[in-house]
Amino acid sequence: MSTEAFNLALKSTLNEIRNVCPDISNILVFGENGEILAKDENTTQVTMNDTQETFRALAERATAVGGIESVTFRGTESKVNIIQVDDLYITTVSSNDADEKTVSNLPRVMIPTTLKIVQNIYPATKIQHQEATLKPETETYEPQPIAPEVQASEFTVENLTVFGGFMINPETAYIDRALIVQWAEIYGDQPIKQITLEAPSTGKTTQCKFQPFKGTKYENRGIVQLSEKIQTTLNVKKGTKVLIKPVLEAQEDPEAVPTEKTDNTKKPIEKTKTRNEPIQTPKTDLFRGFDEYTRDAPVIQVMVENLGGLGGLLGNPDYVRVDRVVIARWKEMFGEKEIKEVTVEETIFGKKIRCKLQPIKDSQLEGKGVTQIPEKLQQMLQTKKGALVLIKPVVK
Amino acid sequence: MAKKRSMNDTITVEEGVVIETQEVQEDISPPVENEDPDYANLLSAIQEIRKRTGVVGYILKGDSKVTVDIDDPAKIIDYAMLSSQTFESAKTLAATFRTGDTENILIEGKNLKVLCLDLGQNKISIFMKKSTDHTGILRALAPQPE
Repeated sequence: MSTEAFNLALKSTLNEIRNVCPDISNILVFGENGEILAKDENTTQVTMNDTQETFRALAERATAVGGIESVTFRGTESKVNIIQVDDLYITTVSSNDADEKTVSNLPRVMIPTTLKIVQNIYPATKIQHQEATLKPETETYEPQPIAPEVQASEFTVENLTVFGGFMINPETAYIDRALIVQWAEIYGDQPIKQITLEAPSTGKTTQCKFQPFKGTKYENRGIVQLSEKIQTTLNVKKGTKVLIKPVLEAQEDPEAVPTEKTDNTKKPIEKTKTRNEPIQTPKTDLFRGFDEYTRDAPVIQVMVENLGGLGGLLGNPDYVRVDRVVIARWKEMFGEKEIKEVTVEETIFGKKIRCKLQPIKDSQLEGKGVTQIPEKLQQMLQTKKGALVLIKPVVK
Repeated sequence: MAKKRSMNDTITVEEGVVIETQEVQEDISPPVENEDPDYANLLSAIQEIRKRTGVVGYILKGDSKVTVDIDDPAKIIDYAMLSSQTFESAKTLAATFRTGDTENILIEGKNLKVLCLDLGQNKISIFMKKSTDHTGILRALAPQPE
């Protein structure tokens, strides 16, 4: 699905809902992980961030009652209502005099309808991703009617000064984890280890590694943190707009050295892999880009997710949870050989552990390119939610 | 540490004491003196509500004491944390969206629903099955207009 079309349609819908029901003063939409997908024009960034943090904290605790379906905070003057619609959480703020049915039903009907329409127009991304993950035995992908190219997103440069530069890799760009999740959804199994940064103002381009922000200060603010070295390479400074594109393994230049590849001509990435190109079997995809590991077993790059819900309380803290589809592929590859353990490698400092595995039980996390790691193992790996890890099966 | 356990597994603890279900002793606390009348009235009302079908427990938090009565003792900590976070969230959202003082909060979960009331010094969280009529409970507990 085209992200721009998605956002535009959602934002327009929210504004229309407010026009239809003026008693609604604010309306915003969260994803299931608390990420903000859209807001009406009346809602400020600060309001949005406060609501997001509050919702995340409450959703975490609400596992005790099976997760949030709806919440209503009724104040003396107005009320805040959060309702779940499919994978979305819609927050509305309305006066106490507003008609409850209108306030509740209008977003419930209009937002899913809009999303369906957009999905019909741009079916490629999400549908293809689901097919890729749900049918691992499929040998080739069918060409999709609309072929989105690797999309660039515009971000504002921020200096990389956190922790006084300590523990920060100057050849790594620090980006929003929502963007990484979005790429994981769009590009599925295709490992993304580098990004392309393009400065439209100078016409310079560079490739470098990336990591999610350390901390939440810059999340959802359209910011990319770049070291002085990368800023010099791009000839940009704090506040400059840059474009970010993921480098898919197929288009990565094997000889490229991070931050050293510059190009004075303003041109798009040429090796962009499009969705209508035939893609090799998922089996091959798993092996791509991890040459150092391929001698023994395939490696997947996934994002760390907390072991939430009951699993977090009752689950075995010694097991990592891996996508069922990935486990099925391993079984397909290694046949009778037993796979009871995996090695998990943290990508920044290379810390590695070996532990037992279980399939992910939460169906909503399937095919999302994540692994659930208990807090105890996260501490051992010195990693946390949103970070990237490499997982490799231990084949006996 | 004053603790008291009645026949229906109600646990009353002084403020700041970790709720512990394993070490509860029978009636070792001294008789309650100078108890807040609002708290006492609310406790009495909640104990009646507790008898209703579908109500699986409650937490009543006063200025200096907390009364907890939950069907499943293993869930006490989870429910207490949810209750605390709910009031905290309400405070933040009230300030963010200027909704005025929070009167009540209803959380509908996939398994249960929770009705929370902020009555100034006293805060109530009632946990119930989804089929339970929360409006009747709200009417019974919400302050009546004078």
